[in-house]
Parts: sequence; structure tokens; C-alpha cells
Amino acid sequence: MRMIKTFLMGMFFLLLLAGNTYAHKVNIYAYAENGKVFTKSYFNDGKPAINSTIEVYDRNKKLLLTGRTDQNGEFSFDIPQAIELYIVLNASMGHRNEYILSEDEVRSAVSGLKAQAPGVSEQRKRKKEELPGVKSQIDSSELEAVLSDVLERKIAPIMERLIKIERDIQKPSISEVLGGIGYILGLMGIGIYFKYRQKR
Amino acid sequence: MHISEGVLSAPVLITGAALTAAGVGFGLKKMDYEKIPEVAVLSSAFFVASLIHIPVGPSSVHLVLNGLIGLLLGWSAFPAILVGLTLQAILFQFGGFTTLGVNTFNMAFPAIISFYLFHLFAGKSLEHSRLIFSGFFCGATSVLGSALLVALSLISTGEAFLPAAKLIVLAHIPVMSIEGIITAAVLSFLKKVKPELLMMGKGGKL
Repeated sequence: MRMIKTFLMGMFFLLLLAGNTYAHKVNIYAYAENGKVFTKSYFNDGKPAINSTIEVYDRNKKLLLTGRTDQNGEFSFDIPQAIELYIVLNASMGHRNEYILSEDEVRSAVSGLKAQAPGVSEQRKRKKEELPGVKSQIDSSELEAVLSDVLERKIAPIMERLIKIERDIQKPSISEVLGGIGYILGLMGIGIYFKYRQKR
Repeated sequence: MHISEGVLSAPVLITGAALTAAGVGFGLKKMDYEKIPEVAVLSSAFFVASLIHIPVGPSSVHLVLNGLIGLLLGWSAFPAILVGLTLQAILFQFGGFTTLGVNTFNMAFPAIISFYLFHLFAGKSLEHSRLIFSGFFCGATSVLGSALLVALSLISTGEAFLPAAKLIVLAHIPVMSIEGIITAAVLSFLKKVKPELLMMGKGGKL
């Protein structure tokens, strides 16, 4: 009994130490924008996964392209096709995770790029000079390009925050830790019950 | 230490699962009534230990404590580690269900070896300096053993053994020393409060 008490105290101490730290798992997060896909990879403790392999597959598991993450655990690539993309991160020592980028997201990133083609923006500038303040003359593709420009600026901080929240969600919570210990104690009870019946 | 889902090939997964099943079966058989609470407590310690993480180089590593578990539990380390890993997979998404067998074997097998090594080194006497030394040695080598087994498992993915092993072993050197110190400290503490725990394995009882 004394031993169990000391051990429980020891575990409590370990828990205190563990308070703000995370553990061993690698995560990947990706989003598409302006014809490019941006990925960010990090370990559970928030450290970036440096120099890890990234493989991009299509729906049929056909390899489209590969790359390596940089010092910030980031890797970006041009969208090969406007289809659903499976992005697989392979960090060293058997750590692996994947992220599925939906077809809608990829498609919208590609179409946004088209609206921003250089010719269009030139045209937009010229039209603005010619007809200042005449809103009805602006066609939908130009409007879309302008809007996506503004939106992109507005969305950037939100994106960053999303990544941060995603990272926080991955971190084990104290209730999960205590729950796990509870499961083990429950198993102990079951084990003792059966062994006790055997003994009698 | 936790190999993720989808990295290993089927033969490796099946071999790991079979070895673990054998180890767990044997461990459960060896586990008697009085030992169950001890197994549960050490299993919880293992479950929590992986949350204590040590930043090293490009990767991150965490405590394993398999040496300590092995030399206190003997063969019962197999069920203890399996339970800890299962809960880590469910609650923290470390490793995965298909790799549970391989991961358990990778951590539990060196634990068993450290159990035998400990009784070889520490001998019958519980002399303090010897206890500290063998505790440190076993704590450190079981982490080393696990790192090597992980590298060995990764061969099937096409990773060459030597570079992978070098990387994993290097990353775990800080963990090895910390685990050695923790194991030695726990042993010297147990010797004071409950020396009969350390006498397991004497008189044919594993």
C-alpha cells in the first residue's frame, strides 16, 4: 500500500512536469490559395518538422509530386491538378500523418488564380482610369479578383489563428490523462476480481 | 518511439503482433494476485511518461520508462506496456492500432532484457553502489534497445538500417541518460521503503 502511495505521488509529480509539454506525434496542416498549396508540419510540442518528406497523391493513390519541408516545417507547391489531394508527411523515425485537401478548396484556389491573370488586372487598371466611379462597368471576373485580393489580406491572420487552434487541439488534455489512468485502475479492478475468484 | 499508422508493411505488423501476443500471454500467466496493483501503477506511469518530452535536434523525444517497468515487473511488463500504449493510441493518437503490436514489442522486449541484466549485475546483494550502477545501466540500455528495434522495424519501409539507427540512437541519448538517472533514483528509493520489490526473480518467481 505504501508503495502504491509513493508511486501515485511520483506520478502526480510527473504530471506537474508534463503540464505544458506535449508528446510524440507529428501533424500536418494544408491550405490552398492562389494556385498554390501551403503545408505546415509540426510535432506535438509545436516544434516544426524540419527536412521531412512530403508526398502528394491523387484519389487513386498515384504519386503526383514530392518535396521536403524547410526550417519552419513549411512546404508549398503549385497545384498539379484541380482534384482532391492527399498530402502525406513522413517525418523521421516512423512518424507519419496525412492531410486531405478537398476538391472544392483546390478548385477555388485555381479559379482565383485565373481571375488574377496579369491581362485581367491590366485591363482592370485601365478601365478604372477611363471610367472612375462607374461600378456597373466592372464585370464579375474583375470583381472576383479584387475581392479575393482583399479577402486574402483579411483572412491571413485568421488562417494563422486556425493553425494555432488546430495545434492546441492536438495536445493531450488533462482530462484525457486522468481518464487514461482511470481506465488502468478499472482494468486493475477487473484483473483483481478474476484472480480473486480463481484463488477462492 | 511510437511508429505511426501506415508506415510499416504487413509482414512486420503481423510479426510484431504475434510476438506481442506471445509476450502478453506469458506475462499474464506470470502475473499473480498480489502483483496486479503494481502492474497497474507502473502501466499508468508508462502512460504518463510519454507526455514528458525532451527537445532534441530536429525531432522530439519523450520519456519511455520501459527499463524501470521491466526490472520491476519482469514478464508482466508486456501487458503493462500494451495497456499503456493502447490508451495512448486512443486518447492521444500516438502510434496507432495497427502498429500496437510492433510498438509494444519494441518497448517491452528491451524491458525484459533489462530485467535479466539487472539481476545478473545487481546479484543477490542489494549493495547500494551496485544497485545505482545497474539501475542506471538498465534504464539507459532499454531505451537504446527500443531505439534499435524501431530502426530495425523501419527497414521494411526501405529506410537503410544504419542511418536510421544512427539518427534514432543519437536522438535518444539525452533520454537514455535521463532514464538511467530516474531508474537509479527510483531503485534506491525503493530499496529504502520496500526492498522486497527488488528481490523479485529470486526463488524462481519472475
